[in-house]
Amino acid sequence: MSIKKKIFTFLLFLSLSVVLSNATAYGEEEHKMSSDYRSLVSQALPMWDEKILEVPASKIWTDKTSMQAVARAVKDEVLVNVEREKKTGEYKDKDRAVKIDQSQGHIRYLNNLREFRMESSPRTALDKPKAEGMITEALRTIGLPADEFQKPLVDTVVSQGGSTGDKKIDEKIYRERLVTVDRMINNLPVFGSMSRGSVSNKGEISRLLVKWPDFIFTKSKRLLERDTVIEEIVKRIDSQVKGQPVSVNIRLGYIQSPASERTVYIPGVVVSVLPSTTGFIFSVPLAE
Amino acid sequence: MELNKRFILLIPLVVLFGLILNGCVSKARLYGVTTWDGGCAATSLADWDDMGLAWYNEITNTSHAGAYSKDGQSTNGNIVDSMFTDAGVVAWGNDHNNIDLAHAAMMFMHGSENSDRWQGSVRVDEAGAGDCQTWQGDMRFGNTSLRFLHLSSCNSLDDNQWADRWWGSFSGLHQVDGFHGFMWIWSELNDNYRDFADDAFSTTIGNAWLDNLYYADISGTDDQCPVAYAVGSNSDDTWNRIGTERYNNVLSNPASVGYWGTIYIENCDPANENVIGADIN
Repeated sequence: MSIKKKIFTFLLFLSLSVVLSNATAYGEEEHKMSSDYRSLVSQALPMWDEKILEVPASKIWTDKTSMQAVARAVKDEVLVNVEREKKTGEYKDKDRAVKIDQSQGHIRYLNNLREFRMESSPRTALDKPKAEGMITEALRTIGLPADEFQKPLVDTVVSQGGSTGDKKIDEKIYRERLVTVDRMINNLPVFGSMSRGSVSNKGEISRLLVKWPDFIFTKSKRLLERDTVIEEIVKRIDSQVKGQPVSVNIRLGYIQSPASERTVYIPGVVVSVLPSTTGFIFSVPLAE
Repeated sequence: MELNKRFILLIPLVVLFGLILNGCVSKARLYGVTTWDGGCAATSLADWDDMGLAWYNEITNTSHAGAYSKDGQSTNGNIVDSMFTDAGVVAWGNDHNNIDLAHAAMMFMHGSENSDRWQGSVRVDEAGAGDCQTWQGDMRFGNTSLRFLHLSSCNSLDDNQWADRWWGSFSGLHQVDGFHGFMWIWSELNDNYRDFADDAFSTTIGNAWLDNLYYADISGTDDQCPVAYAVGSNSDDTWNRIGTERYNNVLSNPASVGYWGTIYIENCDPANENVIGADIN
Protein backbone atom coordinates (compact mmCIF):
# COMPACT_ATOMS: atom_id res chain seq x y z
CA MET A 1 0.00 0.00 0.00
CA SER A 2 1.37 3.39 -0.94
CA ILE A 3 1.95 6.14 1.62
CA LYS A 4 -0.91 8.18 0.07
CA LYS A 5 -3.30 5.25 0.40
CA LYS A 6 -2.19 4.65 4.00
CA ILE A 7 -2.77 8.33 4.85
CA PHE A 8 -6.16 8.24 3.11
CA THR A 9 -7.17 5.07 5.00
CA PHE A 10 -6.00 6.57 8.29
CA LEU A 11 -7.94 9.80 7.69
CA LEU A 12 -11.04 7.84 6.71
CA PHE A 13 -10.77 5.78 9.90
CA LEU A 14 -10.22 8.94 11.94
CA SER A 15 -13.29 10.64 10.41
CA LEU A 16 -15.49 7.62 11.08
CA SER A 17 -14.24 7.43 14.66
CA VAL A 18 -15.08 11.08 15.24
CA VAL A 19 -18.56 10.69 13.72
CA LEU A 20 -19.32 7.55 15.72
CA SER A 21 -18.00 8.97 18.98
CA ASN A 22 -20.28 11.99 18.59
CA ALA A 23 -23.43 9.96 18.04
CA THR A 24 -25.82 10.04 20.96
CA ALA A 25 -27.12 6.94 22.64
CA TYR A 26 -30.16 7.08 20.39
CA GLY A 27 -28.32 7.67 17.13
CA GLU A 28 -30.02 11.02 16.65
CA GLU A 29 -28.51 14.43 16.12
CA GLU A 30 -26.58 15.72 19.08
CA HIS A 31 -28.02 18.47 21.25
CA LYS A 32 -25.32 20.76 22.61
CA MET A 33 -25.93 20.89 26.37
CA SER A 34 -24.59 23.64 28.61
CA SER A 35 -25.38 25.61 31.77
CA ASP A 36 -23.94 28.76 30.21
CA TYR A 37 -27.31 30.04 29.05
CA ARG A 38 -26.00 33.37 27.81
CA SER A 39 -23.50 31.70 25.53
CA LEU A 40 -26.07 29.18 24.25
CA VAL A 41 -28.65 31.87 23.54
CA SER A 42 -26.15 34.23 21.90
CA GLN A 43 -25.12 31.47 19.50
CA ALA A 44 -28.65 30.24 18.77
CA LEU A 45 -30.40 33.59 18.37
CA PRO A 46 -30.92 34.42 14.67
CA MET A 47 -30.16 37.88 13.32
CA TRP A 48 -33.00 40.28 12.42
CA ASP A 49 -33.38 43.75 11.01
CA GLU A 50 -36.08 46.23 9.95
CA LYS A 51 -37.13 43.94 7.09
CA ILE A 52 -39.06 41.88 9.61
CA LEU A 53 -41.48 44.80 9.87
CA GLU A 54 -42.10 44.92 6.12
CA VAL A 55 -45.39 43.04 6.10
CA PRO A 56 -48.94 44.16 5.32
CA ALA A 57 -50.88 45.70 8.20
CA SER A 58 -53.52 43.06 7.64
CA LYS A 59 -54.26 40.05 5.45
CA ILE A 60 -57.89 39.05 5.88
CA TRP A 61 -59.18 35.78 4.41
CA THR A 62 -61.90 34.59 6.78
CA ASP A 63 -64.55 36.77 5.14
CA LYS A 64 -64.25 34.57 2.05
CA THR A 65 -65.05 31.31 3.79
CA SER A 66 -68.39 29.66 4.50
CA MET A 67 -70.00 26.31 5.17
CA GLN A 68 -70.55 25.94 1.43
CA ALA A 69 -66.87 26.64 0.76
CA VAL A 70 -65.90 23.90 3.22
CA ALA A 71 -68.42 21.53 1.63
CA ARG A 72 -66.96 22.18 -1.83
CA ALA A 73 -63.39 21.89 -0.52
CA VAL A 74 -63.90 18.43 0.97
CA LYS A 75 -66.35 17.38 -1.76
CA ASP A 76 -69.03 16.31 0.71
CA GLU A 77 -72.36 16.08 -1.15
CA VAL A 78 -74.41 15.97 2.04
CA LEU A 79 -72.90 19.22 3.20
CA VAL A 80 -73.24 20.82 -0.21
CA ASN A 81 -76.95 20.10 -0.04
CA VAL A 82 -77.32 21.56 3.43
CA GLU A 83 -78.77 25.03 3.25
CA ARG A 84 -76.53 27.38 5.17
CA GLU A 85 -77.24 31.04 4.97
CA LYS A 86 -74.80 32.11 7.63
CA LYS A 87 -71.13 32.36 6.85
CA THR A 88 -70.16 30.95 10.22
CA GLY A 89 -71.60 28.19 12.25
CA GLU A 90 -71.74 24.53 12.97
CA TYR A 91 -73.22 21.47 11.39
CA LYS A 92 -73.47 18.03 12.96
CA ASP A 93 -75.18 14.80 12.03
CA LYS A 94 -74.49 11.24 13.16
CA ASP A 95 -71.55 10.87 10.75
CA ARG A 96 -69.98 14.28 10.35
CA ALA A 97 -69.22 17.51 12.16
CA VAL A 98 -68.21 20.94 10.87
CA LYS A 99 -67.23 23.94 12.95
CA ILE A 100 -66.26 27.33 11.59
CA ASP A 101 -65.03 30.10 13.87
CA GLN A 102 -64.12 33.05 11.69
CA SER A 103 -62.97 35.19 14.59
CA GLN A 104 -60.21 32.68 15.35
CA GLY A 105 -59.60 31.51 11.77
CA HIS A 106 -60.47 28.02 13.00
CA ILE A 107 -62.23 25.38 10.89
CA ARG A 108 -62.76 21.69 11.64
CA TYR A 109 -64.32 19.06 9.39
CA LEU A 110 -64.75 15.42 10.50
CA ASN A 111 -66.44 12.67 8.49
CA ASN A 112 -66.56 9.24 10.10
CA LEU A 113 -67.92 7.63 6.93
CA ARG A 114 -64.58 8.29 5.25
CA GLU A 115 -62.45 6.86 8.04
CA PHE A 116 -60.23 3.80 7.65
CA ARG A 117 -61.98 0.50 8.34
CA MET A 118 -59.69 -2.44 8.88
CA GLU A 119 -62.19 -4.88 7.40
CA SER A 120 -63.01 -2.99 4.23
CA SER A 121 -60.65 -0.10 3.41
CA PRO A 122 -57.83 -0.33 0.86
CA ARG A 123 -54.46 -0.74 2.57
CA THR A 124 -52.36 1.21 0.11
CA ALA A 125 -51.96 4.90 0.88
CA LEU A 126 -52.60 7.43 -1.85
CA ASP A 127 -49.55 8.80 -3.70
CA LYS A 128 -47.99 11.59 -1.66
CA PRO A 129 -48.13 14.26 -4.39
CA LYS A 130 -51.81 13.48 -5.00
CA ALA A 131 -52.63 13.73 -1.28
CA GLU A 132 -50.70 16.99 -1.06
CA GLY A 133 -52.52 18.40 -4.08
CA MET A 134 -55.93 17.47 -2.66
CA ILE A 135 -55.30 19.24 0.63
CA THR A 136 -53.72 22.38 -0.80
CA GLU A 137 -56.58 22.65 -3.31
CA ALA A 138 -59.10 22.21 -0.49
CA LEU A 139 -57.43 24.96 1.52
CA ARG A 140 -57.52 27.31 -1.47
CA THR A 141 -61.22 26.52 -1.97
CA ILE A 142 -61.92 27.35 1.66
CA GLY A 143 -60.31 30.72 1.04
CA LEU A 144 -56.84 30.48 2.56
CA PRO A 145 -54.22 32.61 0.77
CA ALA A 146 -51.97 30.16 -1.10
CA ASP A 147 -49.06 32.60 -1.05
CA GLU A 148 -48.80 31.90 2.69
CA PHE A 149 -48.40 28.11 2.29
CA GLN A 150 -45.09 26.59 3.24
CA LYS A 151 -44.05 23.43 1.42
CA PRO A 152 -46.53 20.82 2.74
CA LEU A 153 -45.34 17.89 4.83
CA VAL A 154 -46.95 14.60 3.86
CA ASP A 155 -46.96 11.92 6.56
CA THR A 156 -48.51 8.48 6.76
CA VAL A 157 -50.67 7.28 9.63
CA VAL A 158 -50.11 3.61 10.31
CA SER A 159 -51.49 0.85 12.53
CA GLN A 160 -49.34 -1.80 14.07
CA GLY A 161 -50.19 -4.48 16.57
CA GLY A 162 -49.53 -7.97 17.75
CA SER A 163 -50.72 -10.93 19.71
CA THR A 164 -50.13 -10.89 23.45
CA GLY A 165 -49.87 -14.68 23.50
CA ASP A 166 -47.18 -15.60 21.01
CA LYS A 167 -45.65 -12.07 21.03
CA LYS A 168 -45.84 -11.98 17.22
CA ILE A 169 -45.78 -8.41 15.82
CA ASP A 170 -47.87 -7.99 12.69
CA GLU A 171 -46.87 -5.94 9.65
CA LYS A 172 -47.78 -2.25 9.76
CA ILE A 173 -50.92 -1.21 7.91
CA TYR A 174 -51.24 2.10 6.07
CA ARG A 175 -54.37 3.95 7.21
CA GLU A 176 -54.17 7.38 5.53
CA ARG A 177 -51.99 10.30 4.48
CA LEU A 178 -51.73 13.28 6.79
CA VAL A 179 -50.84 16.53 5.02
CA THR A 180 -49.66 19.45 7.15
CA VAL A 181 -49.31 22.96 5.74
CA ASP A 182 -47.55 25.54 7.88
CA ARG A 183 -47.83 29.27 7.33
CA MET A 184 -45.22 31.70 6.11
CA ILE A 185 -45.31 35.45 5.60
CA ASN A 186 -42.32 37.52 4.50
CA ASN A 187 -40.41 34.21 4.25
CA LEU A 188 -40.79 33.69 8.00
CA PRO A 189 -42.99 31.22 9.89
CA VAL A 190 -46.21 32.39 11.51
CA PHE A 191 -46.25 30.46 14.78
CA GLY A 192 -49.59 29.09 15.91
CA SER A 193 -50.94 28.82 12.37
CA MET A 194 -51.24 25.54 10.53
CA SER A 195 -53.61 23.41 8.49
CA ARG A 196 -53.81 19.65 8.44
CA GLY A 197 -55.87 17.28 6.33
CA SER A 198 -56.29 13.53 6.28
CA VAL A 199 -56.69 11.79 2.93
CA SER A 200 -58.13 8.29 3.03
CA ASN A 201 -56.78 5.41 0.96
CA LYS A 202 -59.91 5.81 -1.17
CA GLY A 203 -58.84 9.35 -2.02
CA GLU A 204 -61.35 11.26 0.10
CA ILE A 205 -60.70 13.98 2.68
CA SER A 206 -61.85 12.48 5.96
CA ARG A 207 -60.71 15.22 8.33
CA LEU A 208 -59.57 18.81 7.91
CA LEU A 209 -58.17 21.18 10.51
CA VAL A 210 -57.48 24.86 9.86
CA LYS A 211 -55.86 27.17 12.41
CA TRP A 212 -55.13 30.23 10.33
CA PRO A 213 -56.24 33.49 11.99
CA ASP A 214 -56.42 36.64 9.88
CA PHE A 215 -52.98 38.22 9.90
CA ILE A 216 -53.26 41.54 11.70
CA PHE A 217 -49.88 43.10 12.30
CA THR A 218 -49.06 45.68 14.91
CA LYS A 219 -46.61 48.11 13.44
CA SER A 220 -44.18 48.32 16.32
CA LYS A 221 -42.59 51.53 17.35
CA ARG A 222 -39.17 50.04 17.79
CA LEU A 223 -37.39 46.72 17.45
CA LEU A 224 -35.64 45.59 20.60
CA GLU A 225 -31.89 45.47 20.87
CA ARG A 226 -30.30 42.05 20.55
CA ASP A 227 -28.84 42.22 24.07
CA THR A 228 -32.24 43.01 25.54
CA VAL A 229 -33.74 39.96 23.87
CA ILE A 230 -30.86 37.75 25.01
CA GLU A 231 -31.32 39.01 28.56
CA GLU A 232 -35.03 38.17 28.52
CA ILE A 233 -34.50 34.68 27.10
CA VAL A 234 -31.74 33.88 29.61
CA LYS A 235 -33.96 35.09 32.46
CA ARG A 236 -36.85 32.90 31.30
CA ILE A 237 -34.66 29.80 30.96
CA ASP A 238 -33.01 30.31 34.33
CA SER A 239 -36.37 30.77 36.06
CA GLN A 240 -37.40 27.31 34.88
CA VAL A 241 -34.30 25.15 35.02
CA LYS A 242 -32.07 27.06 37.45
CA GLY A 243 -28.60 26.20 36.25
CA GLN A 244 -29.28 22.74 34.77
CA PRO A 245 -27.52 21.93 31.48
CA VAL A 246 -29.87 22.45 28.52
CA SER A 247 -29.79 22.69 24.77
CA VAL A 248 -31.48 25.64 23.06
CA ASN A 249 -33.03 26.18 19.65
CA ILE A 250 -34.38 29.60 18.60
CA ARG A 251 -36.53 30.37 15.56
CA LEU A 252 -37.40 33.78 14.16
CA GLY A 253 -40.91 34.58 12.90
CA TYR A 254 -44.24 36.12 13.81
CA ILE A 255 -45.88 35.34 17.13
CA GLN A 256 -49.22 36.23 18.61
CA SER A 257 -48.99 39.34 20.77
CA PRO A 258 -49.35 38.45 24.43
CA ALA A 259 -50.71 41.94 25.05
CA SER A 260 -53.75 41.57 22.83
CA GLU A 261 -56.96 39.60 23.33
CA ARG A 262 -57.50 39.54 19.56
CA THR A 263 -55.11 37.58 17.40
CA VAL A 264 -52.55 40.24 16.60
CA TYR A 265 -49.09 39.35 15.32
CA ILE A 266 -45.75 40.87 16.17
CA PRO A 267 -42.19 39.85 15.31
CA GLY A 268 -40.74 37.42 17.81
CA VAL A 269 -38.66 34.37 18.49
CA VAL A 270 -39.77 30.95 19.65
CA VAL A 271 -37.30 29.39 22.07
CA SER A 272 -37.14 25.61 22.61
CA VAL A 273 -35.27 24.46 25.71
CA LEU A 274 -34.35 20.85 26.27
CA PRO A 275 -33.06 19.83 29.70
CA SER A 276 -32.55 16.16 30.53
CA THR A 277 -36.32 15.79 31.02
CA THR A 278 -39.40 17.30 29.40
CA GLY A 279 -38.68 20.11 26.95
CA PHE A 280 -40.41 23.46 27.09
CA ILE A 281 -41.04 26.23 24.59
CA PHE A 282 -41.84 29.91 24.96
CA SER A 283 -41.94 32.98 22.75
CA VAL A 284 -40.34 36.37 23.23
CA PRO A 285 -41.39 39.54 21.35
CA LEU A 286 -38.78 41.39 19.34
CA ALA A 287 -40.64 44.68 19.41
CA GLU A 288 -41.96 46.97 22.07
CA MET B 1 -103.01 17.18 53.64
CA GLU B 2 -103.50 14.69 50.79
CA LEU B 3 -101.31 16.90 48.55
CA ASN B 4 -98.56 17.04 51.17
CA LYS B 5 -98.54 13.24 51.48
CA ARG B 6 -98.18 12.86 47.72
CA PHE B 7 -95.40 15.39 47.73
CA ILE B 8 -93.55 13.54 50.49
CA LEU B 9 -93.92 10.26 48.61
CA LEU B 10 -92.44 11.87 45.50
CA ILE B 11 -89.21 12.98 47.23
CA PRO B 12 -87.53 9.54 47.36
CA LEU B 13 -88.45 8.97 43.71
CA VAL B 14 -86.87 12.27 42.68
CA VAL B 15 -83.75 11.49 44.71
CA LEU B 16 -83.54 8.00 43.15
CA PHE B 17 -83.95 9.43 39.65
CA GLY B 18 -81.19 11.95 40.38
CA LEU B 19 -78.87 9.23 41.61
CA ILE B 20 -79.53 7.08 38.54
CA LEU B 21 -78.98 10.04 36.25
CA ASN B 22 -75.75 10.95 38.03
CA GLY B 23 -74.59 7.34 37.87
CA CYS B 24 -75.03 7.36 34.09
CA VAL B 25 -72.80 10.38 33.55
CA SER B 26 -69.19 9.44 32.86
CA LYS B 27 -66.60 11.06 35.08
CA ALA B 28 -63.33 12.80 34.22
CA ARG B 29 -60.34 13.37 36.46
CA LEU B 30 -57.05 15.22 36.07
CA TYR B 31 -53.86 14.50 38.01
CA GLY B 32 -50.53 16.22 37.63
CA VAL B 33 -47.55 18.12 38.92
CA THR B 34 -46.03 21.43 37.88
CA THR B 35 -43.92 22.09 40.98
CA TRP B 36 -41.81 19.38 42.52
CA ASP B 37 -41.31 20.81 45.99
CA GLY B 38 -42.97 18.11 48.05
CA GLY B 39 -39.97 15.90 48.72
CA CYS B 40 -39.44 14.50 45.21
CA ALA B 41 -36.99 16.36 42.97
CA ALA B 42 -37.69 17.29 39.34
CA THR B 43 -37.67 20.37 37.13
CA SER B 44 -40.73 22.51 37.80
CA LEU B 45 -42.63 23.63 34.69
CA ALA B 46 -45.32 26.17 35.44
CA ASP B 47 -47.35 25.95 32.21
CA TRP B 48 -48.08 22.20 32.29
CA ASP B 49 -51.34 22.36 34.25
CA ASP B 50 -52.83 24.76 31.69
CA MET B 51 -52.56 22.05 29.04
CA GLY B 52 -54.21 19.51 31.35
CA LEU B 53 -56.92 21.92 32.41
CA ALA B 54 -57.68 22.77 28.78
CA TRP B 55 -58.50 19.06 28.26
CA TYR B 56 -60.40 18.75 31.55
CA ASN B 57 -62.57 21.79 30.95
CA GLU B 58 -63.44 20.67 27.42
CA ILE B 59 -64.31 17.02 28.16
CA THR B 60 -66.65 18.34 30.86
CA ASN B 61 -68.06 21.11 28.67
CA THR B 62 -71.80 20.53 28.80
CA SER B 63 -72.30 21.70 25.23
CA HIS B 64 -71.18 18.18 24.22
CA ALA B 65 -73.81 15.46 24.10
CA GLY B 66 -72.39 12.95 26.56
CA ALA B 67 -70.14 15.45 28.35
CA TYR B 68 -68.26 13.97 31.30
CA SER B 69 -68.75 15.29 34.80
CA LYS B 70 -66.00 17.06 36.72
CA ASP B 71 -64.92 14.43 39.20
CA GLY B 72 -61.84 16.26 40.42
CA GLN B 73 -58.60 17.78 39.31
CA SER B 74 -55.50 17.46 41.47
CA THR B 75 -52.51 19.58 40.61
CA ASN B 76 -49.50 19.46 42.92
CA GLY B 77 -50.66 18.82 46.50
CA ASN B 78 -50.35 15.22 47.63
CA ILE B 79 -49.74 13.50 44.27
CA VAL B 80 -48.24 10.15 45.30
CA ASP B 81 -47.35 6.82 43.73
CA SER B 82 -50.23 4.83 45.25
CA MET B 83 -52.88 6.95 43.50
CA PHE B 84 -51.98 5.25 40.23
CA THR B 85 -51.02 1.73 41.34
CA ASP B 86 -53.26 -1.27 41.83
CA ALA B 87 -53.73 -3.24 45.03
CA GLY B 88 -53.83 -6.42 42.95
CA VAL B 89 -50.21 -5.84 41.93
CA VAL B 90 -48.75 -4.06 44.96
CA ALA B 91 -50.40 -4.28 48.37
CA TRP B 92 -50.16 -0.52 48.92
CA GLY B 93 -51.82 0.34 45.60
CA ASN B 94 -54.78 2.70 45.92
CA ASP B 95 -55.91 3.52 42.37
CA HIS B 96 -59.41 2.25 43.19
CA ASN B 97 -59.88 5.31 45.39
CA ASN B 98 -58.23 7.64 42.93
CA ILE B 99 -57.61 7.58 39.18
CA ASP B 100 -59.52 4.35 38.53
CA LEU B 101 -62.72 5.97 39.78
CA ALA B 102 -62.83 8.11 36.63
CA HIS B 103 -63.98 6.93 33.20
CA ALA B 104 -61.48 9.21 31.45
CA ALA B 105 -58.37 10.63 33.08
CA MET B 106 -55.28 12.60 32.18
CA MET B 107 -51.97 12.53 34.02
CA PHE B 108 -49.34 15.21 33.43
CA MET B 109 -45.90 14.79 34.96
CA HIS B 110 -42.31 14.17 33.92
CA GLY B 111 -41.90 10.74 32.40
CA SER B 112 -38.99 8.41 31.81
CA GLU B 113 -38.29 4.71 31.36
CA ASN B 114 -37.33 2.15 33.95
CA SER B 115 -36.83 -1.47 32.85
CA ASP B 116 -38.46 -0.63 29.51
CA ARG B 117 -41.60 0.66 31.21
CA TRP B 118 -42.89 4.21 31.62
CA GLN B 119 -42.69 5.87 35.01
CA GLY B 120 -44.10 9.25 36.05
CA SER B 121 -42.50 11.61 38.58
CA VAL B 122 -44.89 12.25 41.47
CA ARG B 123 -44.57 15.11 43.94
CA VAL B 124 -44.50 13.48 47.36
CA ASP B 125 -42.50 10.45 48.47
CA GLU B 126 -45.20 8.76 50.52
CA ALA B 127 -44.57 6.66 53.61
CA GLY B 128 -44.26 2.96 52.89
CA ALA B 129 -43.41 1.33 49.59
CA GLY B 130 -44.60 4.05 47.23
CA ASP B 131 -41.75 6.24 46.00
CA CYS B 132 -41.09 9.28 43.80
CA GLN B 133 -41.80 7.40 40.55
CA THR B 134 -45.07 5.73 39.75
CA TRP B 135 -44.21 2.75 37.52
CA GLN B 136 -46.35 1.19 34.79
CA GLY B 137 -45.46 -2.30 35.99
CA ASP B 138 -47.44 -1.58 39.18
CA MET B 139 -50.51 -0.30 37.32
CA ARG B 140 -53.77 -2.07 36.43
CA PHE B 141 -56.58 0.15 35.23
CA GLY B 142 -60.25 -0.44 34.58
CA ASN B 143 -61.07 -2.93 37.31
CA THR B 144 -62.88 -0.01 38.95
CA SER B 145 -64.01 2.34 36.14
CA LEU B 146 -61.24 3.80 33.98
CA ARG B 147 -61.75 3.41 30.21
CA PHE B 148 -59.51 6.07 28.64
CA LEU B 149 -56.16 7.20 30.04
CA HIS B 150 -54.24 10.09 28.51
CA LEU B 151 -50.62 10.65 29.47
CA SER B 152 -49.09 14.08 28.98
CA SER B 153 -45.71 12.66 29.86
CA CYS B 154 -42.42 11.93 28.11
CA ASN B 155 -41.69 8.35 27.02
CA SER B 156 -45.16 7.26 28.11
CA LEU B 157 -45.73 5.07 25.03
CA ASP B 158 -42.26 4.42 23.63
CA ASP B 159 -42.35 1.76 20.94
CA ASN B 160 -40.31 -0.65 23.07
CA GLN B 161 -43.19 -0.68 25.58
CA TRP B 162 -45.91 -1.79 23.16
CA ALA B 163 -45.52 -5.50 22.52
CA ASP B 164 -44.73 -6.86 25.95
CA ARG B 165 -45.42 -4.13 28.51
CA TRP B 166 -48.41 -1.79 28.36
CA TRP B 167 -51.14 -4.32 27.63
CA GLY B 168 -50.45 -5.82 31.07
CA SER B 169 -51.99 -2.71 32.66
CA PHE B 170 -55.34 -3.21 30.90
CA SER B 171 -57.90 -4.68 33.27
CA GLY B 172 -61.04 -3.19 31.77
CA LEU B 173 -59.19 -0.16 30.41
CA HIS B 174 -59.86 0.46 26.69
CA GLN B 175 -57.18 2.86 25.48
CA VAL B 176 -54.03 4.70 26.53
CA ASP B 177 -52.81 7.76 24.64
CA GLY B 178 -49.28 8.98 25.19
CA PHE B 179 -46.00 9.84 23.49
CA HIS B 180 -43.06 8.07 21.94
CA GLY B 181 -40.00 9.99 23.16
CA PHE B 182 -40.15 13.48 24.63
CA MET B 183 -43.26 15.64 24.57
CA TRP B 184 -43.19 19.40 25.04
CA ILE B 185 -44.70 22.08 27.27
CA TRP B 186 -45.85 25.20 25.42
CA SER B 187 -48.68 27.58 26.20
CA GLU B 188 -49.55 27.46 22.50
CA LEU B 189 -50.45 23.78 22.96
CA ASN B 190 -53.25 24.56 25.43
CA ASP B 191 -55.64 24.88 22.50
CA ASN B 192 -54.42 21.55 21.11
CA TYR B 193 -55.33 19.76 24.34
CA ARG B 194 -58.71 21.50 24.34
CA ASP B 195 -59.29 20.58 20.68
CA PHE B 196 -58.30 16.98 21.38
CA ALA B 197 -61.15 16.70 23.91
CA ASP B 198 -63.53 18.59 21.62
CA ASP B 199 -62.79 16.39 18.59
CA ALA B 200 -63.00 13.15 20.59
CA PHE B 201 -66.78 13.59 20.83
CA SER B 202 -67.04 13.60 17.01
CA THR B 203 -64.18 11.43 15.75
CA THR B 204 -62.24 8.58 17.35
CA ILE B 205 -60.13 9.32 20.41
CA GLY B 206 -57.13 7.99 18.46
CA ASN B 207 -57.68 10.36 15.52
CA ALA B 208 -58.25 13.27 17.88
CA TRP B 209 -55.03 12.53 19.78
CA LEU B 210 -52.87 12.28 16.65
CA ASP B 211 -54.40 15.22 14.78
CA ASN B 212 -53.98 17.62 17.68
CA LEU B 213 -50.77 16.45 19.37
CA TYR B 214 -48.56 15.55 16.39
CA TYR B 215 -46.11 18.37 15.81
CA ALA B 216 -43.29 17.96 13.30
CA ASP B 217 -40.11 19.80 14.28
CA ILE B 218 -41.77 21.17 17.39
CA SER B 219 -38.42 22.24 18.81
CA GLY B 220 -36.84 23.11 15.49
CA THR B 221 -35.09 19.73 15.38
CA ASP B 222 -37.34 17.12 17.04
CA ASP B 223 -40.89 15.94 16.45
CA GLN B 224 -43.57 15.40 19.06
CA CYS B 225 -44.90 11.88 18.43
CA PRO B 226 -48.33 10.94 19.82
CA VAL B 227 -49.39 7.29 20.02
CA ALA B 228 -52.85 5.76 20.55
CA TYR B 229 -52.75 2.26 22.07
CA ALA B 230 -55.68 -0.12 22.62
CA VAL B 231 -56.28 -3.79 23.34
CA GLY B 232 -58.94 -6.33 22.45
CA SER B 233 -59.70 -10.01 22.53
CA ASN B 234 -58.15 -10.37 19.08
CA SER B 235 -56.99 -8.33 16.12
CA ASP B 236 -60.49 -7.56 14.77
CA ASP B 237 -61.75 -6.54 18.20
CA THR B 238 -58.76 -4.25 18.82
CA TRP B 239 -58.99 -2.46 15.46
CA ASN B 240 -62.74 -2.07 15.83
CA ARG B 241 -62.25 -0.44 19.23
CA ILE B 242 -59.48 1.99 18.32
CA GLY B 243 -61.28 2.69 15.04
CA THR B 244 -64.67 3.55 16.56
CA GLU B 245 -64.41 4.57 20.22
CA ARG B 246 -65.19 8.17 21.04
CA TYR B 247 -65.93 9.80 24.38
CA ASN B 248 -69.60 9.38 23.56
CA ASN B 249 -69.31 6.00 21.85
CA VAL B 250 -67.85 3.64 24.42
CA LEU B 251 -67.92 -0.12 23.77
CA SER B 252 -68.20 -2.74 26.48
CA ASN B 253 -64.97 -3.72 28.22
CA PRO B 254 -62.62 -6.04 26.34
CA ALA B 255 -63.55 -9.63 27.26
CA SER B 256 -59.86 -10.51 27.33
CA VAL B 257 -56.51 -9.03 26.32
CA GLY B 258 -55.35 -11.16 23.39
CA TYR B 259 -54.05 -8.40 21.11
CA TRP B 260 -52.59 -4.90 21.30
CA GLY B 261 -52.77 -2.26 18.59
CA THR B 262 -51.33 1.20 18.00
CA ILE B 263 -51.90 4.11 15.66
CA TYR B 264 -48.99 6.45 15.05
CA ILE B 265 -47.27 8.71 12.49
CA GLU B 266 -44.71 6.77 10.46
CA ASN B 267 -41.11 8.08 10.71
CA CYS B 268 -41.91 10.45 13.57
CA ASP B 269 -38.58 11.28 15.21
CA PRO B 270 -38.68 12.75 18.73
CA ALA B 271 -36.00 13.77 21.21
CA ASN B 272 -34.73 11.01 23.51
CA GLU B 273 -35.82 8.12 21.30
CA ASN B 274 -35.16 6.57 17.93
CA VAL B 275 -37.53 7.01 14.99
CA ILE B 276 -40.89 5.54 15.99
CA GLY B 277 -41.40 1.90 15.08
CA ALA B 278 -37.70 1.08 15.01
CA ASP B 279 -37.62 -0.67 18.39
CA ILE B 280 -41.02 -2.29 18.82
CA ASN B 281 -40.78 -4.74 21.65
